[in-house]
Amino acid sequence: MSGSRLGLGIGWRPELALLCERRADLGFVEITVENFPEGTALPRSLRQLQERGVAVIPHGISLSLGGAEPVDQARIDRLAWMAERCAAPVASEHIAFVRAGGTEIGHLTPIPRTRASVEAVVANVRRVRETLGVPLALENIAALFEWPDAEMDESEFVRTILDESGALLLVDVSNLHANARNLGADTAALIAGLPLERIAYCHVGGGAERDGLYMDTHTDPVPPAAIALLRQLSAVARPPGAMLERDGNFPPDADTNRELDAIRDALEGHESVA
Amino acid sequence: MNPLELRGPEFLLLYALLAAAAIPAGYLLRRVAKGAGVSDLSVRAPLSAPEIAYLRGGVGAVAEATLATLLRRGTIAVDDTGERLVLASPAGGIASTSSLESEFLASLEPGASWPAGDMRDGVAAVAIRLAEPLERQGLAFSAEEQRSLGLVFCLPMLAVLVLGLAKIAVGLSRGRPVSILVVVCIATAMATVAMFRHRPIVTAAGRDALRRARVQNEALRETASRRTANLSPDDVALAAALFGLGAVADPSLQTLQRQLQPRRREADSGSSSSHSSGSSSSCGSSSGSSCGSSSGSSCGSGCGGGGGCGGCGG
Repeated sequence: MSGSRLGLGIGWRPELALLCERRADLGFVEITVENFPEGTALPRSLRQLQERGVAVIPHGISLSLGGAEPVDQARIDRLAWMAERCAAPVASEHIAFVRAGGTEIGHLTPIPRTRASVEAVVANVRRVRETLGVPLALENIAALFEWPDAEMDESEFVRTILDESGALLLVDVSNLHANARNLGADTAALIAGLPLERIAYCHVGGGAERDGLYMDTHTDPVPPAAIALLRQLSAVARPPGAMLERDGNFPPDADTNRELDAIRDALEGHESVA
Repeated sequence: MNPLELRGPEFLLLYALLAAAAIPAGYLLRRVAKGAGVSDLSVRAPLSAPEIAYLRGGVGAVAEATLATLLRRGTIAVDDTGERLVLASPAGGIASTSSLESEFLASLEPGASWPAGDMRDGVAAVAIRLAEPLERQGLAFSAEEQRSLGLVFCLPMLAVLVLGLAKIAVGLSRGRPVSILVVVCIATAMATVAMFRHRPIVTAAGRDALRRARVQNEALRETASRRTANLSPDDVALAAALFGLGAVADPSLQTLQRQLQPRRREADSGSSSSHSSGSSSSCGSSSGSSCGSSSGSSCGSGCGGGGGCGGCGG
């Protein structure tokens, strides 16, 4: 366990603002830093959630911590500014790179599991932590390919980065599921090898199979396998919180609430009735 | 100094200055006349969506919110032309509606169709009865109060007009040309009438109640402005009442928004003549996410990996 109890959460989107307001058991919401123009106030409905005790966690998608180049200080400042503005207990980013040599990739792209990559990520995380006033949690991503000549497996790779950087862990169980489907990863072994005592919170997102590959779309229903993975994780680690990621193609609120109920039950170690 | 003894150009300059000052003076006088409007909101029952709409824009806003609800509920529908509204729901479907809606629906002739503007006038004619309870609660001005406030507002301009008329009389008695001053006085008279008709319908307490309701329903505004497929008809009614038709992103309301948009803007100003749009009804008798943003964001919607390009990954 790595911090205070967050409980049930959801990725805040304007389309879900009313659902968030009506969901009394929300403990936290996550906001994507890049979706909020710099210097602007938080939406009032978000501030109202804060007033009732719901934590707001800024989640970055553009730091490119896995890039060989140093992280842009302006992007670090923006994440730190948002964390301060939200009075966030933690901020989060990905173990991935999204640009190289000035070219934006447009995807969270996996990095080679090598010692050199570990050192690059650790150096970048340390830069971020120098500015960021709250703990930083790093998220495992979903990958459609693996780089050759890996020097360590996924769990060792993540553990080494966290040990050397002092960062926390954001476990995306749907990404674990995606990697199991697409790359044949052994999720049980991965969970067993992750530094579970450093978990800050968990992501659960929806996805769908396209052209023989499982896509972590965040616009499709949450697969039962992802809920099962969260339940499996909760049985051995009791994560401080878990949240639903939904970014588009929003279903009726009843469906979203059922997914939230399932996440809450899995987090608490109960069998979902949904 | 007697202003009536001034020479023509000097008088016109003074007159222009006084006319310009008459508008803020009118506002000031009206504000004093309206009073603080302080009232104890805690003892009031929660306002209904039509009442909130009335506070936002009078009976016109009530009508728009009501039509949005009826459309969303399927009680009325847009016909095949996409330009007219028809009664769509069978009589049984009307049972769950409010008394205001029921009274309006009862006035509709089955099988006929109406432009949105006519339907709006039909609802507005019924909605006028919302005014009395709001007036009793100190949230809205009565018609008499509105007239008085209109008079107070235009009084300074009326005084300027009287001065101009007096100068015309002096000029005529002395055989001087007064044509420019006559034109100016006609313009002043028109401004006076316009100010007289510019009457507030909502008290300070009413504006405060509306502001509070808007703050309390900020999450509804956020969601309704993005997607409404998931909102109940009551949610749509409240969103339209609080924030106007334009703030509700519902494709089924496009006909209403297109046809009523100009009048909606007028209503949103919150100071339109309250009862004018409800004075007559013609209803019941008519026949007729991409990837690769330059910012480095990997997914515009925030998932972090290009949701539109084969998965988010984050």
